[in-house]
Amino acid sequence: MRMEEKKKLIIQDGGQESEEWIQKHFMKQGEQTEIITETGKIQNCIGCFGCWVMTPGRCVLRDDYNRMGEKLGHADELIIISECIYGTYSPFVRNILDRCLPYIHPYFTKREKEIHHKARYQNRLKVSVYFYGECTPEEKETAVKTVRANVLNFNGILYHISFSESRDTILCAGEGMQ
Amino acid sequence: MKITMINGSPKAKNSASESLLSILKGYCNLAAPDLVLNKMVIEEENMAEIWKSDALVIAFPLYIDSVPSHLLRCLIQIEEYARLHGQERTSEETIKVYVVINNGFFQGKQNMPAIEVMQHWTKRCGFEFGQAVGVGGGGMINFIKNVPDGHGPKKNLTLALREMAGNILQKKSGETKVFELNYPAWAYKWQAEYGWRMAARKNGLKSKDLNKRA
Repeated sequence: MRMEEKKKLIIQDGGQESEEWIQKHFMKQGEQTEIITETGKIQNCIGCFGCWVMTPGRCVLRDDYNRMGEKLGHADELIIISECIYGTYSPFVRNILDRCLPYIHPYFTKREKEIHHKARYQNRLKVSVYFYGECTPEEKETAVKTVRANVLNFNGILYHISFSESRDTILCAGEGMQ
Repeated sequence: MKITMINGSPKAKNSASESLLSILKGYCNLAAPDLVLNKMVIEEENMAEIWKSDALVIAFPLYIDSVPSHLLRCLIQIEEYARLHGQERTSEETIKVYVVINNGFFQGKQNMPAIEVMQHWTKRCGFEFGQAVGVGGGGMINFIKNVPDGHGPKKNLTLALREMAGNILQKKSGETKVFELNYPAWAYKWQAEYGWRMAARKNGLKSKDLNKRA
């Protein structure tokens, strides 16, 4: 019996010039990987909830990033590479995450005694976040809280968070928090 | 004292942030229109208004546990401006920042990571943090506009916003307040889910279409 190919989604803010480096360090043989990169115009989520009540599961905005819901829904692993700004992600990565709203369902459910949105898909994403850039210890703490909240909302499994001073040293940042 | 109320919701109108600022403006006796930041870039004249302010009151909805991305871009733009122009203001003239966040879940505490982001941003700009209010049940805020202050579901909200208004007027700092509307969680859940079914039907969909996977 043939094993099904693992699907990995990488969201990164380094532009197209970073893709080669990402392919070298984050892609493995036998995995199907897609990199989400800032290639052109991206619109911000306008809070219309069209992705829930007009075209459920798909964003109604017309640009290259309106299928994030299904991309996450069909992935096994999510890797985020982002500058850490004020204890959250860079604007591009935040923008992409905002556009991931169709991944979740409008109905509510309880997780860890809090109300969250129900999962639309059955997958449980294994999530790794590689932050880089100069940030204070307090900003790092906030970034960890943000990632934990995202993983809980996406019904995922937190696998890795690390911080490094620059993009070039991401892989030297050790194993981080696993 | 110049107080600038900033609506950071990407929605053009009828946002919960607009309603929350409207309540605060009533308590502060302010009539000036909100400065709306619903684009990715702040126009020059709006930046000048922000820079002339003694206090900024920034309201926004929680998006995927954080600050909406368009507003994050605006915050970075303000920080860059503050770095260039910081020497124009003395430390006594520092801008005081107040934050009002609403989320569509039920618990107010889910706003905490975004509140902390705003505190870190304030520090990086060289501003001073005044107070944060984080409320849950954002989907209900527009529906309780006409409920008298301090009553029913508005009880906690009225207390928190009245206290914040007092602090804004005196340029004082206050403790972070995260709380729920005074409403049962089960009823909020039921009403929200009924609302999604009705909205889907208006768009010619069936209730079960809400479960679609693209």
